[in-house]
Amino acid sequence: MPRSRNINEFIKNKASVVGLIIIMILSLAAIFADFISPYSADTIALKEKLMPPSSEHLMGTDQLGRDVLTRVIYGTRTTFELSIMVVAFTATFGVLVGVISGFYRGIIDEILMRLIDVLLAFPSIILALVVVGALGPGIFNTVLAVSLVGWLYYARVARASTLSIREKEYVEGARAIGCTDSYICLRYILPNCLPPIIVLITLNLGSVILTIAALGYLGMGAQPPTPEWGTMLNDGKEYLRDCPWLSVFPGLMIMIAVLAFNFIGDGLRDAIDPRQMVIK
Amino acid sequence: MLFAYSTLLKLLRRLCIFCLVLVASTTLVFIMLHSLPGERAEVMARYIFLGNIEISPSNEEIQLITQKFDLDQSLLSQYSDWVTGVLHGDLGRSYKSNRPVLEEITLRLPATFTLASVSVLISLLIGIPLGLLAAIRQNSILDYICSTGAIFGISIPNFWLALMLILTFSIALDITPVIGYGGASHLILPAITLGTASAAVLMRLTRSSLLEVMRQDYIRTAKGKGLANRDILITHSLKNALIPIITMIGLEFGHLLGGTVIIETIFAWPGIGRLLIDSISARDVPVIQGCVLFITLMYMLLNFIVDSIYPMVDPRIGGSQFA
Amino acid sequence: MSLLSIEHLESHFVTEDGLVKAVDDVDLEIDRSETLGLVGESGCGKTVLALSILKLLSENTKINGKIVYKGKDLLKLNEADLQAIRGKEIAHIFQNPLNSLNPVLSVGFQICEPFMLHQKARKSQALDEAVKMLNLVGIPLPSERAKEYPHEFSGGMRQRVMIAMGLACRPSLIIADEPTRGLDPTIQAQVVDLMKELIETSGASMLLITHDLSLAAELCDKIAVMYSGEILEYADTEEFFKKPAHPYSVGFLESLPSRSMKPIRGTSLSLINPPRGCRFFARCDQSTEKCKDIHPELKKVKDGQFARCHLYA
Repeated sequence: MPRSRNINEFIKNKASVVGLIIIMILSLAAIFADFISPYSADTIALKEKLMPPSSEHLMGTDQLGRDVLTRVIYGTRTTFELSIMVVAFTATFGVLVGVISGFYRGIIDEILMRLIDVLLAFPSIILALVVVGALGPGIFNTVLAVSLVGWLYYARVARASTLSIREKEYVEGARAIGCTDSYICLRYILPNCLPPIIVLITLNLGSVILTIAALGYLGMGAQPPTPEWGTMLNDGKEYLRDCPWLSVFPGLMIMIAVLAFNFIGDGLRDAIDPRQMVIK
Repeated sequence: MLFAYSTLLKLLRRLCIFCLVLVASTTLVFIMLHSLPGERAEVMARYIFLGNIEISPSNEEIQLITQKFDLDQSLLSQYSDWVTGVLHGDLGRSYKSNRPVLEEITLRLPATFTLASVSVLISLLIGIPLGLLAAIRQNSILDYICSTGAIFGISIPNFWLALMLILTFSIALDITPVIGYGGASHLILPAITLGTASAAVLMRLTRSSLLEVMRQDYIRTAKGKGLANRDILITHSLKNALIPIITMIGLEFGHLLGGTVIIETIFAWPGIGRLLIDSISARDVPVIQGCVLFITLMYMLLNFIVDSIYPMVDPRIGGSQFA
Repeated sequence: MSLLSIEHLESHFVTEDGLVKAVDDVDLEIDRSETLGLVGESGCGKTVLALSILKLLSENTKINGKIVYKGKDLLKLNEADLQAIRGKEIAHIFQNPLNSLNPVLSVGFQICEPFMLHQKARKSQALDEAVKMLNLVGIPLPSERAKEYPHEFSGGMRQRVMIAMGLACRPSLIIADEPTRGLDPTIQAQVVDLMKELIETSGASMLLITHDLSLAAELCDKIAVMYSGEILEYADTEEFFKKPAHPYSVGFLESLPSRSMKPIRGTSLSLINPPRGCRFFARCDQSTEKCKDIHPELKKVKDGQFARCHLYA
């Protein structure tokens, strides 16, 4: 697969480049939050509570007088940390299961296929809610809850790639000269899984961010005072009429982050999938 | 004749799988909720003795509850008790309201059903036609607007969309009521919120599906026979393009059910989703169980219907769904 | 008197890598009740040529030249007039029947369509005609099978369905693209016999696209050899097989299993930047310096045989 051509395809897609830039900006904001925030995230200043956007507080202040812009910036950190954790777990576990299942087939593969068939479409937020409801809110439980079904996506994609490669002649050839199964998996199958998995990771990051924010909005996610966009929306909803800025900005950030990942994911998918390459 | 038989077999197999899911999900939830009997007894005690979840009950009160309701029995026997109950139509009683769980749920079913149906309708009526148009006029301005709009549609958090819609239409413009249950004016904002994401997904899929179909050799054959573009689209392309869309509609039902949880809460819409959230906050275990059961059932039923429609559109029945 | 006259046809694709000249300045003629075989290896441009006639190529192609059918230039017709000719006057029988038939429509319906479209027949009438066509092409139990779908037919049957579809409105010109490709030899023979019979009874002309020379020998009155977007030789079938003129034709014949199966050395060229001189230069054993620099024209070798080679200039 000519790498340079794919990269060129990707760059030509303006939306993807915009998405990439947005994510880079957000990542930098998350990493350097301490340096770029105008205020500290925890400083409570009740005298200045619920103030509209001004030159001192670009996004206004919340019900405890905290600067919303600062909390939004730190919220980037929380959101990214959580999502990366979820995706790291689910992708690793999912790809492992998918490759093993696709390679060895048999009863494990049958069970996995059935699981995938049905569980994937089941509203995962309901499961996540119940898990958090049973075990209690908080960061760890949120990650656990969201990861519970998420790995199936990766398993499915990894399995599909594995199935298509294991039939190829060079795999049979490798077996014939005595390569072990794990060598074949590592050297031939895994690299072939990577392109669609990378696309899935980008797109999945978007939906994981949405799920985490949704849990936060319902009060089941990160707990105060941890700044998280969904939780901030939850705090702000009772002030919707009088202090709309509390609801506008955190939600806007969620949308921008998810949008960026979707742009990137779309661009990657178009660049990699040969069927989509349009002859201009 | 022969393929009617194999369709039946496939549907039967699907039915078995769904039953498995039902059992699996309810079991999972049961285990999670019942693994701490002490806690449950405590919650029940709060409600029964004190009528209030905030105040802590005394240890004697907790003991009393544990004995009265056999809460210290093994997990398996509690589960079998529950299952027996379900098969007789008894889902237990809510800790909070003391009403039968079945009653609490059936009271709220119509509301969720109304909301879900209207949302689905909106998403179908917007998503599919726009997708078709975008594909027919590929790379035009219309296509660009629709495709960009669709990406926004799938990126926007539905709870935020709800808040923004309320801000705009209920608060600023004062056209619609903010929250509550009622007729069209109460229904329209929640339905639009729920329908948007699905509409966006359907639009994108319709577009790519139709584009894929138009690239096929049999379309060229149709053109070679002298058919006009309109006839090629309607007679030859649509049915083929619909096949993956039908699969997606089934998936979208799932997302929609999940979405009702949040949307009903925001709009104070008295449906099952809201009941689930409230019961989780209130640690009302029987209601949580009952809600999960019902939601799974609804999801199962909807998918069943979608699967039955599938062979009608694709005579190759195999289709990619069963591969 | 020629039925179809192709003059200076150029079909170019615009791609990222450059301009692909799939058909580069081709002249051909087909007379009434005549079968012309267009032979060549994969990628030489013969399918593109065939698709150009009814303008069935994709959007990013540029077609120049003239294709005159019964006095009208097809390339200058508007879409509506062209639709009236497609399927009725000129029928294209496509390669690969599995992909060329719509999987969700019954076979009977797909054969009905030309009748309903060009003869304004009602559905029931058209269905009767469709069943008659299925019978004509030798499909047993035609009225039952008309209700079935393409995936329920075998490869050979599907090919017959394509032929039935093409011949439905008794066209004057049939363009058949690799009609026997991928079929078992026994089935191939049946299809060939069928085509021969149909052509003879209807008196139609045919443009047969194939890489199978033995097929061409059986069905065609004249042979045109195509290579790298050009016609290298154009001859009466008899003359061609008696003594092919162009070195490429010689090599092609020699490579047949029925002969010595000796391959032509080298590989065919990319169609993007064709060489200055003769396109077959790099693979030709009889080439001279002249062949490298000067592009040969199609010249008469003898009566009924033309070749694009400096050997005959």
